[in-house]
Amino acid sequence: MTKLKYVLILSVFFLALAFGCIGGGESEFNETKLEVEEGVGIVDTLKIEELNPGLDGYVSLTIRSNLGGEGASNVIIGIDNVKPFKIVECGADRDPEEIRGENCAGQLDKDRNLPFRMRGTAKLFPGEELDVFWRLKAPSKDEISDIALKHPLYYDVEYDYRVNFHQSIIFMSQNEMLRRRQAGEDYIIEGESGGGAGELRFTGTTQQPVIYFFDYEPGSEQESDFNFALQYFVENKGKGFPLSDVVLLLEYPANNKIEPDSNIPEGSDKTNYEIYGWHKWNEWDGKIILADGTTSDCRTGDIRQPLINCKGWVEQTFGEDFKKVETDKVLVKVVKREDFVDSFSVYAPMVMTGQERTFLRNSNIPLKIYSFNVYAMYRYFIEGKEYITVFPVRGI
Amino acid sequence: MKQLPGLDDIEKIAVPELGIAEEAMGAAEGGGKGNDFNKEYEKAFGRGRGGGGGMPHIEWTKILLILAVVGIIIIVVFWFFSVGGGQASAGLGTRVGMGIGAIFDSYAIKSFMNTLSNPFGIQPTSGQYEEVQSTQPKTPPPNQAFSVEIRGATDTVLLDQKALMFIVKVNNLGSSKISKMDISLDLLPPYSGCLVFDSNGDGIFESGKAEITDIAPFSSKEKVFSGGKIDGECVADKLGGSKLKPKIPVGNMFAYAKAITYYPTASRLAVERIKEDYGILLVRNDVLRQQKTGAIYRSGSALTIDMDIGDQPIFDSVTEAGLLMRWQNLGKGKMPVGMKPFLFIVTPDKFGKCLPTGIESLWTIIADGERITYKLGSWFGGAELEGSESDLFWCDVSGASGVASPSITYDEEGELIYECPIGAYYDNGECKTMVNCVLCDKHLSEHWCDPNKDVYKQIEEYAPHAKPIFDWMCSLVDKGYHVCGTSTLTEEFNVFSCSLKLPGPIKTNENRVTEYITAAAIYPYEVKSPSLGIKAYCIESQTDICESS
Repeated sequence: MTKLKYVLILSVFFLALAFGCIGGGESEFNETKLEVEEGVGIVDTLKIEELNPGLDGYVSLTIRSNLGGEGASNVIIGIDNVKPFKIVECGADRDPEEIRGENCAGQLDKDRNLPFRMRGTAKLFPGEELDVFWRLKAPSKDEISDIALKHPLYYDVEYDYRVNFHQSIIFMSQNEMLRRRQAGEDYIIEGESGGGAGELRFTGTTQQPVIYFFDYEPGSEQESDFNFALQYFVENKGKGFPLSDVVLLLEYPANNKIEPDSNIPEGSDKTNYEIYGWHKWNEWDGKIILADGTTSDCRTGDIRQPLINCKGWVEQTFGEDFKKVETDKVLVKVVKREDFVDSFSVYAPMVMTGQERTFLRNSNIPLKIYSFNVYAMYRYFIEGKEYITVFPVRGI
Repeated sequence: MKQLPGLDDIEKIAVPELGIAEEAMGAAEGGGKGNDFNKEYEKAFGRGRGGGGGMPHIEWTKILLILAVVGIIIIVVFWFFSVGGGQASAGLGTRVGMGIGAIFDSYAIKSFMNTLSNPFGIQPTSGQYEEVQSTQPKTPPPNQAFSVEIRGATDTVLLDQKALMFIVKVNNLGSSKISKMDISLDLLPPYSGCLVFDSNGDGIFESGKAEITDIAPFSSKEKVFSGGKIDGECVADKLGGSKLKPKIPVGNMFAYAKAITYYPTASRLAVERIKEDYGILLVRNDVLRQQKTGAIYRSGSALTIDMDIGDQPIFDSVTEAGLLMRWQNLGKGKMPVGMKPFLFIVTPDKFGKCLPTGIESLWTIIADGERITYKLGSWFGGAELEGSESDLFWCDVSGASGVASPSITYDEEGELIYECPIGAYYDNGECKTMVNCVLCDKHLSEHWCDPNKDVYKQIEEYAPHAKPIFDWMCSLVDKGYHVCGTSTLTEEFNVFSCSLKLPGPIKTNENRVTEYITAAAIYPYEVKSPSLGIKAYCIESQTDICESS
């Protein structure tokens, strides 16, 4: 009987502990996690809600570069609508708009020559977390007219970012498709696709498999080029918006297999791929040819910065890995910021070369997978808002 | 047929002790023998359940053991998820530590330990403290100024007998200190004036009036009114002069207390402006939606002021905006007639003065200390206006056929046609009081802020606790603000609108700029207490007021 008692007591105790204590509670650990749609995310905001007149306190902003992304560059973190607060830095009360001089280093590597309300860093590596802070001085009792002041303080982060999307596209011969149909096998198959973290999300909409056919018998003359088109749907799924034009790079398979369709359509002075806004990287001068035939600079910075040539910025934003890109197999396209609000579709006319097609025919290869990489480069902007209340305290 | 065990017997059987087992055996078999408990137990249950598949003792033990194991598994599973173990492979963020330390950090164990150490849950752990710099309340401010209660020591009294004692309690429900408040006691009609007090040296006067001083916000104070009587002759007079019936209480007699003081209130509106190109970018990308924003701050007070300047943030290309101000009395009292309220509107210098729409064009600058005559428009019938700068008022004189204030009005030939006092206008041969008059900046300073002027004296006398806000408003005139004031605030006239000029493009590299408009009012407020029934009667010996039986 004693054994039975212990068993009963233990059972009740553990059950009570399990349902009473664990089931009703929440973990004290609030894990901050970035979503795949965030290249850089704000993981903690200002942390201060109230100040007394004339006193100062630290506000800080914690940002993190998504571990699953490519890292951000030229990162500017700022607070906006700071007045009537002042920023205490380099030993004095500063106007938030005042530019840091040579003698004021700031906190981050690129702080110098930025207004006191902004901080900057050249690079934020994937997974890196950055805690930036400002020492804000509240307006005096007189300035707030001795009445509580609830002031909206905006914070914003802007950065250059690269997002990638890779897709393996399946090519199937017509004979293979017919065989599968007759055998009752599934002939609609798709290759793998995926991409890193980032605000602009790609969806490959190329219809698969791409069915090709042969004009001649095996071993006879060479096949001609076979036309097809790559299609992508690009969406801004992030919490902000691109400040710049969006530059797309399309990396296609090796020479003499898949090539952009450079045929000149009848009555046009442009190649097929030019018609759809693509340029070969090596032939591109960094400018955009507009619909009316004029050229324009690519807008790569925020709205406050002057327009600059695009090509250098793309290389810089792409980063070290750009050296690994075979630039003779890259197409580039620029989508103007004005044309991109929420989403857009991309269409790239390509050809399977006659040489490749002949090879497939002669080698009796019914299925072939080709991989395509597409990259988007842009400057992105996110913002948030917090309130700081200044309470008048009698006697100060 | 053997006897089946009863319930009591079964309970005893369940205790695995020999003596009781024997008892059970006896019960089951009518005093049978043997000490094999399990065997007999099975027998007893088997028969008790009709002899088919009874549950042996060993099965219960197993079930309980299984329950215990299941309980432990549940704990482990819940603990695993509560410490974030399940997210370790999924998240890109901070990974919460595992291991022995994590077991003691887990919520379940912590909660259990906290419960043991603090069974009633009244000692907060350090993590429960909110770390803020100020302890200012975050709850919405109250919409009352003060309330008054009255209690009586007795409710039955002989007429003319000084036996009445009342305790009046004033609760300061708003967020401003009350440094001086007038309290008065009286009877409701038809017996008004029939409650009489002797001065008792405690600041209470014969008229039933007294002062209460220094009531802190959210606190209360009491005043005792003793030695009161219901004046028999007064009551008799109110009832038409006839004598009263003895020992029958006079009907419908109620006492009440009334408290009057000036109470301040303040309200603040944030005017957020945004660079147009940046704002359009935000709107276009659905990051920003302009919306109406009310006052961001208001003090706890019966009179609340709300302000509206339209959708915000305002693009910096907009150069004019209408400000609408609306005040409401949300309290249980009212603004008494005959005491002037004061409303101030403070706007940043770059916004210009807050003058009722269109008024500025009606009256123009007159000044430099000389009597300079300015012609006004034909709307005034060609009349001319003159006066000294200090007399300058902006008033809404819509509908008036002529204007003669604050100075003298001449006709086109220069003949004096009328002269009205300050604050009045000429209309069809008579001077009428102006409404919606607004004084601004140095004119306000001269008329209201001069300690020798009546307005200032009135505030000093009746509302010493509102004087700081009055002084502060006066002090802002020379500090880069426009301060305009009006004393025509009433519950009926509860909307004030003006046109503000906005400074235009934001020239700094900030995208947003927020400026503030402040409104403050000092208003007289009167609150009555709930009434208190009094039974007052006379007796035959009071021959002058009472009938003989």
